[in-house]
Amino acid sequence: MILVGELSLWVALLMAVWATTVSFAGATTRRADLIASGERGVYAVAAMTILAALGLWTAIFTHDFSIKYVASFTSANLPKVYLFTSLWAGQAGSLLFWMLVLSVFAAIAVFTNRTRHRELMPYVTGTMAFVMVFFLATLCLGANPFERLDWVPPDGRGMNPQLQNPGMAIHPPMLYLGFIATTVPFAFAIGALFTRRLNSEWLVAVRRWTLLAWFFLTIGIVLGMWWAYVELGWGGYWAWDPVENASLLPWLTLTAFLHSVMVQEKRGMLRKWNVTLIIASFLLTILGTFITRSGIIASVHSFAQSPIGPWFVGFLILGITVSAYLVTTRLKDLKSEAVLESMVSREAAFLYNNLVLVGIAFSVLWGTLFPVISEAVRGDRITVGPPFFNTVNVPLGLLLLLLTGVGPLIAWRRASVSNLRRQFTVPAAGAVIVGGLLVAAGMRNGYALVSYVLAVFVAGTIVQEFYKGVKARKSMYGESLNLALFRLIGRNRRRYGGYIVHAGIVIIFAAFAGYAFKTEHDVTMKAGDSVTLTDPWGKSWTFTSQGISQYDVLNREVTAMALETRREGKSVGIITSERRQYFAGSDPMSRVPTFQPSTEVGIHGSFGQDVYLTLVGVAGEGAGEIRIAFNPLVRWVWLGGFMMAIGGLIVMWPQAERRRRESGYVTQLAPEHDMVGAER
Amino acid sequence: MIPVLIGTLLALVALAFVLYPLFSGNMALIPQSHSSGSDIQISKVDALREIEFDHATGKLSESDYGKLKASYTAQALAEMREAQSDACPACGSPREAEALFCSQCGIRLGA
Repeated sequence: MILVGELSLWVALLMAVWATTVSFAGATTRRADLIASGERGVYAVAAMTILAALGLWTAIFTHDFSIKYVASFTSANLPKVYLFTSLWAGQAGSLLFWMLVLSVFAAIAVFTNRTRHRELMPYVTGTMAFVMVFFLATLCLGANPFERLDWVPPDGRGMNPQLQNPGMAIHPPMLYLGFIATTVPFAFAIGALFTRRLNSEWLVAVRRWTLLAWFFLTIGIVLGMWWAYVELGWGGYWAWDPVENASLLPWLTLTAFLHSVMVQEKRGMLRKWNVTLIIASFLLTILGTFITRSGIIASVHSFAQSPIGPWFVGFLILGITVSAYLVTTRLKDLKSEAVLESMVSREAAFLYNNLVLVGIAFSVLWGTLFPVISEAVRGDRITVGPPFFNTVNVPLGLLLLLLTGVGPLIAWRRASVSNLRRQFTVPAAGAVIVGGLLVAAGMRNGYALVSYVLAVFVAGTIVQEFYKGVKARKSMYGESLNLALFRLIGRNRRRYGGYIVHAGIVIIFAAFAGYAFKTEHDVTMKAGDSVTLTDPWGKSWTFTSQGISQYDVLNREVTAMALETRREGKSVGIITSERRQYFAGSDPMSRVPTFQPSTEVGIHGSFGQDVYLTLVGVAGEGAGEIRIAFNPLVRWVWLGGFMMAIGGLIVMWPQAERRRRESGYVTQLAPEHDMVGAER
Repeated sequence: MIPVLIGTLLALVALAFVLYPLFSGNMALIPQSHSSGSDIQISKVDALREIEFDHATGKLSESDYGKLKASYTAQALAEMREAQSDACPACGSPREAEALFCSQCGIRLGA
């Protein structure tokens, strides 16, 4: 099976080259047989890649340590679930996993469009096949997961302990799904540019794919934040790490696209912009992968480094060149059908939202690449840290939050003063009242205050939208409250699903603002020692050390410190934080430590705050150095992320044509003679 | 020896699969279809439905609503008449190009 896997990778490369060649040949000659052969080529690539992945999994599960990848990233004592996830724990394997998802996505895209978009499809197939050629060539020639060692080690090095976390089983696949799903819209954009069919045809074809990419990226990013929070022991969930930034960049451009595409559909504007956003999203995923893989910028993801950087740089340059050529030679076909009528209109609001999102994307990109740029220009590497990102992005983020409230409420084309007044009075009044109350309660942090005021404003607009919508349905169709609410969402999933996503965003912003009130204390305690601290809500907490214990679990040696914890004198239980030293081999006398020791934080969570304990080290004589942090509102970040995912699902859910037709309007045309009467 | 055999076998199966269309003798060209120039894809009936709802929820002023409703109604009627001329008069199912009989209900269609 392992051998079959290795060989099928080469066959897949051959098939991908074939599919690229005949698809583009078929596109120019319009020959149906060439096009069909190209499409079959994509299916063949998928089948071969699945075989290759099964081959590597077989090698991993049978502990075939003669294969370098298996020896480098797994060990005989690694739990089964992590054997499965080790496919994406290292460089070559994660590239194979990437290729696996890409080939399956490409096959699905080809299959679902087998009778549709026949003019576009040969180019789409060819483009996707070409992207696969790149990944397969990188796999076969640059980072072969089936590479063999000259000797067979008795055991493997094991998996990086930071990756031995349940979050890591789903966070990378989710991000990959999101990253890779952008390939399909990109291929359609390239197809539309080639054929000059730049009206809405390609937008219809990619709608679900862009939503899918956005959906998985959202889940992947939030899971990544959760992983960083519970596993890396930073004490936080976002540190503007280059790789976090790399996942955020395509998310920003895709979010911008999901908004601006509505302007193109409704008003025929922003064609250039939309096609550029899709191309940018795809290229940013490639850039992100390059940043993660090349080790060009130091990051927490350095475990995935390898020398395949130049492959990605080459591909990136090629992608930028071809896209730029196609867009600039088709500017005439990308002209708008309409002009902006007013700066106070829905389309203008979408435009501002896009500018802010792209502005954030630029600043993040600049900050992330700054070490490389400064090294190239001045010779020394200057890293910009969180202060840069926060200074630039917090105000932009707040502006975005404001637009989240304003955009959906104003009319298309031109908003009138009365329209604005009618829509904004209640939410704005609510926001001002809450702002006043917060100031009266003693809140003096400017950004946090603005965040809460805006959050209340946006939440108010969302509630108002649901309220007015339900009311309108009740009076227009005489529906009950529940039915009206259900149908309001069900019959207009894009709009109301979008509002639910916005609600998730509001919750996340409120949680971010809460984080400004975090407090942290470093203490050293022996068994029996106590310390009393006050949390940001003014409650007192007493922590009593139960001492330090050391024991073995599975493949690791654990040093744990347990604190008996009381809030306002009442016990809330024992919180434990661990230092873990992983080892290879099972015999206690001969086993060898692997990797640096890692920290397992102890968290006592509630909706108000997390009490977050990190065992920093052992000070001798049974004393432990521990960091106790009160992190306000963290749980709301996960809740907001969950809500965004639910909203995304509602927007994506397929809507039956029949039901859509039935919603509201009777669309039967009366016989001609009746119409004459009616018109009179 | 075995690797060579397996590899050759895999490659042959894959090649046979992708080359099949080229030897099936189908040299047809895909028909040229023209894309309509406009981006605006929601039908006028949907647009009408939407402004009605926007008006009910207070997003559209009375005067804008009146103007838009009149123009969309006229366009929606035109759109529906056009759509209906391609439908079977008896069962309403779409009429195929140059069909003499409806493929759904079998009724004779006028020229």
